Amino acid sequence: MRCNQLQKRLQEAAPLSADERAHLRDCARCAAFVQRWESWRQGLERRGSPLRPDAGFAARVVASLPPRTSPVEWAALRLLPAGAALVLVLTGWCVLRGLTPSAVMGQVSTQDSLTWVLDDGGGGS
Amino acid sequence: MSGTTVLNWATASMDLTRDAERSKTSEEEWVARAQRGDREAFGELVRQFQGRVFRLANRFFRRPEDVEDVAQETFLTAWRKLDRYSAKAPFEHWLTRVCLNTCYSRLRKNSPEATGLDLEVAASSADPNASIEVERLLKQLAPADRFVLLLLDGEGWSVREIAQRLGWSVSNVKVRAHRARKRLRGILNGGTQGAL
Repeated sequence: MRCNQLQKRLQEAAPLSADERAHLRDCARCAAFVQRWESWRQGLERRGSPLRPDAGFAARVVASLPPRTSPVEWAALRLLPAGAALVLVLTGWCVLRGLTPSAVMGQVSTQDSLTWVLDDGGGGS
Repeated sequence: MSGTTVLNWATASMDLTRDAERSKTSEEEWVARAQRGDREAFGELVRQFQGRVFRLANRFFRRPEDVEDVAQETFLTAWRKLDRYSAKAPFEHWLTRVCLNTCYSRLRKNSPEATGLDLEVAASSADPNASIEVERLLKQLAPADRFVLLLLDGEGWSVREIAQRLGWSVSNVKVRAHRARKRLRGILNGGTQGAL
């Protein structure tokens, strides 16, 4: 448990207390850990020489750029699946009810709506 | 300090400030033009930041072709999402975030064999034995752990810096760092590979 706490503090680069330093001197396991940990840290720092882009990299990136889509176009594109889903749901609903598109349109004719409004108005409170 | 030295220092300091302002203005101009769809302006931004993107990608990927792929993907994503960049933070910070996210998703997608160990590259480094051992250790870590440890121990960033640069919460990074360090401790203590 003590080894674990000490190793955790080493990883976090936290300052060690006198007690912890004494433990480090006496504990072979922790001493080995410190050695491996330091090698790991230094190995990461020295890890290879950084690669540099070649002279034609920027030109290749520019050549591969797709045309930019404006925010309005993006919004329209994002609404497209929602519109398609709505059409599918409506079609499904019509099929389930056994209605043809013309019958659906006929049901909401102006005359019917007017009659409904007049009836409702006449019979209301 | 003599009067001439003070004058020289002040002039140099003013020049530096003017240069920094000029470079910031031109960067803002390049970004604004690129946001309007100007490819050449974006190309200028690529030329300006390609070194930084390569260096960061090279932290996670060793093979030159992987590094170039990640850099290219970073710039393509930046081009596609350029509308989301608002000039509140420097463009470099935003691009760093795009690059880190690209590296992270690629690390998670690829098998450890594809990203963790490249003995050829390690063998050509200044200290081949240490490099090979580091690559072996990295290979034993899960991609998420590798990502966090490379930022903590490789880049030397703090938990707060990682959170800020990735747009993650500090507590999220803390939890990930805790897990990754614990696993690394296990590996370093376990002695499953040769001593470093």
